[in-house]
Amino acid sequence: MKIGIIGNPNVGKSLLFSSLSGVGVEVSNYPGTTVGLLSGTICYRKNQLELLDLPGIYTLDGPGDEECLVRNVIQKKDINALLVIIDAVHLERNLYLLLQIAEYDIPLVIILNMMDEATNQGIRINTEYLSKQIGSPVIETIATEGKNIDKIIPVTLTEAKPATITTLYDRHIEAGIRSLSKVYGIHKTEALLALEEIETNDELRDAADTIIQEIENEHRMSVHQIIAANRHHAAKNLANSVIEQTEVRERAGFDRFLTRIFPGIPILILIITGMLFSVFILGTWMEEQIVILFDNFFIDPLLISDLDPFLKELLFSVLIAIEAGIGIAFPFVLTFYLLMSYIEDTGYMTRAAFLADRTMHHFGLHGQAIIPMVLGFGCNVPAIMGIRNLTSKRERIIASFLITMVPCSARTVIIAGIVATFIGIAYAFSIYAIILVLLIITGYVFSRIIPGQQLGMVLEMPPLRRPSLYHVIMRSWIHIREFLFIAMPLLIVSSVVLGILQYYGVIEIFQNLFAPIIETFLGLPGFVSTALLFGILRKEMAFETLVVLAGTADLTTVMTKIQLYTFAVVSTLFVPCISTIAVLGHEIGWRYALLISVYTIILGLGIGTLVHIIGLPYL
Amino acid sequence: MKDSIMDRSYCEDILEFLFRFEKEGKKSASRQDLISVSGIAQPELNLILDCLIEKNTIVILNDKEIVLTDAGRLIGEKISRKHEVLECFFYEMLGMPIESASEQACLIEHKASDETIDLLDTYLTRGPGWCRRHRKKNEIDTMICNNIGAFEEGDRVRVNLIKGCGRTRRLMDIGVLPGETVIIKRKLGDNKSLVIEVKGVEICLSPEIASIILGEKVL
Repeated sequence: MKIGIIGNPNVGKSLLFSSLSGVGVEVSNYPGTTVGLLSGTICYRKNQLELLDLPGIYTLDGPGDEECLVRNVIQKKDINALLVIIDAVHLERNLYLLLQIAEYDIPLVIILNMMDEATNQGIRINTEYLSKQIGSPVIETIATEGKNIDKIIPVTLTEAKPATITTLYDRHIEAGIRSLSKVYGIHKTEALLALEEIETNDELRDAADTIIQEIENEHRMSVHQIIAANRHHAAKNLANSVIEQTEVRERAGFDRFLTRIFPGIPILILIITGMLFSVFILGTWMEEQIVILFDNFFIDPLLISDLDPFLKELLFSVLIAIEAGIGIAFPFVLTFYLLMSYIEDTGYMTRAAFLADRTMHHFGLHGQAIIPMVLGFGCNVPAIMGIRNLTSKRERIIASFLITMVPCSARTVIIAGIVATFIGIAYAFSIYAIILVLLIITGYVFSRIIPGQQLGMVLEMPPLRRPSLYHVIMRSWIHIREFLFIAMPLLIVSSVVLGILQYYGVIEIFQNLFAPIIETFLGLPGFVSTALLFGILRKEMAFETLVVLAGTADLTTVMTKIQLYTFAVVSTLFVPCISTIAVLGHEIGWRYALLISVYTIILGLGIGTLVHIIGLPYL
Repeated sequence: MKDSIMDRSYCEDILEFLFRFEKEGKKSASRQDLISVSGIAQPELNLILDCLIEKNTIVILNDKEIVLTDAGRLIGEKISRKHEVLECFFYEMLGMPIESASEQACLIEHKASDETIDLLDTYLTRGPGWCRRHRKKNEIDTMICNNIGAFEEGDRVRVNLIKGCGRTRRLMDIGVLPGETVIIKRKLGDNKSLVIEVKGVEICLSPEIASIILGEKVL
């Protein structure tokens, strides 16, 4: 038996899902989309039940990825029951979606969540009458306290019923629905979708077009607008008939400060920098421990063992790949996700998005994009995973280009380890300045050449809440697992390939091949190309390999200051690491992942050449 | 009261018919002419004519030739113009059949104010928004019906119109529809990013989204 969980965003859907399904959660991607679907299996009285957490949506009849996905799941009819999660505080708004779901004849159970908040605000809902009106059972819950959660599955198994409530549409719409369903033998919901110009076949579209034109001429309103108005009207009536008493309460005073320029923006900067520093400090420390652990227990024993050299090389490649993967995953990605999930669950990020909206516009992005951009400083991987919250493909592409240029903590290691140590702090900051300028130019240019129009931001701002720690940890765990699944295989494969190439001396041939280019354009010694190549596996490896190849930790003995500076610039800009490329391919497609890689290679080499030419007299 | 209005409209009708006859070149009209165009029976017509003579709007020459006085001609001309403007509006703009357009014009012409007819006339000849007077009225309209970025924090605004087509779906789905009242919760500096409250939920909007929502302040 399959049970779907559906509802508006911010109604406590995921919390309910994880309380119902426990730890056995799997992340699967719905074919053809980048939208993730969570599914979990539970056992109840020897029945195996599959729970499906559908993405939060405001409407079923929308053109977006999420709406399409939910519609597909519902239309396929392989769902035996739907749990419709409704925010009791905003009953009317939530009923809008419920009325649409009701049209699909799927057995429903209505979960009236956040009853505690509703009671606090003086809202009393006549649940019995609501259940009678809708025709499906209604359960009052408080997911954060676990109240009545245990009732959900038993009620779903025994009492779930398709809703009997119907929305009355404008008579022209009703006539349109009737004639379309009669002529084409389709369900009411399909006729409505056709009238709203979503998901139709050619024949149906032609027929619908005539009706749409007639209706629009008559009403001077789009059909979608009329249907939406009818549904809102029905939702309002239904809500008014079950809400017994309301008193309006103002939001807490603290929240009101967050959306003002002052002190909102200083608070935003404080939170972002605070988060970056914690990720950076905690992450670097943890990564160090992991690397030491790995070196001591696996890599060093392997290197001194007398295995067959080829096997040794192979094992070595696998080990350093695992080291690189874990070295990114736990220290940076996990720390970051823990902090980020916590802040996200408070609802603060929407306030940040609101404040940043204007600035992001110059880059063809919206306020929401601030979140992944900030993540990028910690690690590009979670940042790229974060872009799926952006509304349009165009924004996701622009954001990907920008994020891969943001210096992550690994690149900071290069900048700090090479430039700050051997040349000076001021020069280290000059690299950040170069990157910032390039970022602004890239954003500005790409926002003008990448096709697609800039839609505005319409973002719900939920009230601030205290996050549940359990939920935060659960979600971070799901994300980290997702990361490991995507990045690990690629990391291991590419590492092994590089190892084999090195074993057979191909790397040396490669090095000799590229030496002239690197020497003439960048003014760097030939062996640097190998360091750059290994930097693709994990960014700091460029630094580490360079030290190994140079044969000394004091790099100034083998390279001049300008060479070191150029190397730092090139390896910072040059190609995102393998994990980032893997996630890029996963989120926006391999074509764009390749394009971004090529762009950063050109940028790295180009800027490196410029630095070499311009900087020579100064250093 | 009702009778006097009825009387007045009958009187005006007769003056209107007389004016039309005059325009067609007939200096005077007989009782029979009036009966055939107006459909009023002889006894009532006599009463109406008496009333018109009393008001000094017609004279009857040789007991049969009915002629308009200057005052009568003025009224007749005015009513006739009202009839033409209304009929033209019903027929040309609203697409009513000519018979019912004329019939309706006949009923409304007695009640419509001169100003209404003037405005309607300019509307018909120059299209909407052309005449100075009309434009002035429009300016007042847009002052009330501003994009919601123009209101102050705390204002309650009734949405009147959402411009554009494709981008409005999300707005409609969260409940921003014409007729819905929203509250401006926060305005960010002068860049007009907004937080509005609709159906008890706070929503932040980019300036370009705010600029397509037109509304008026409600108290």
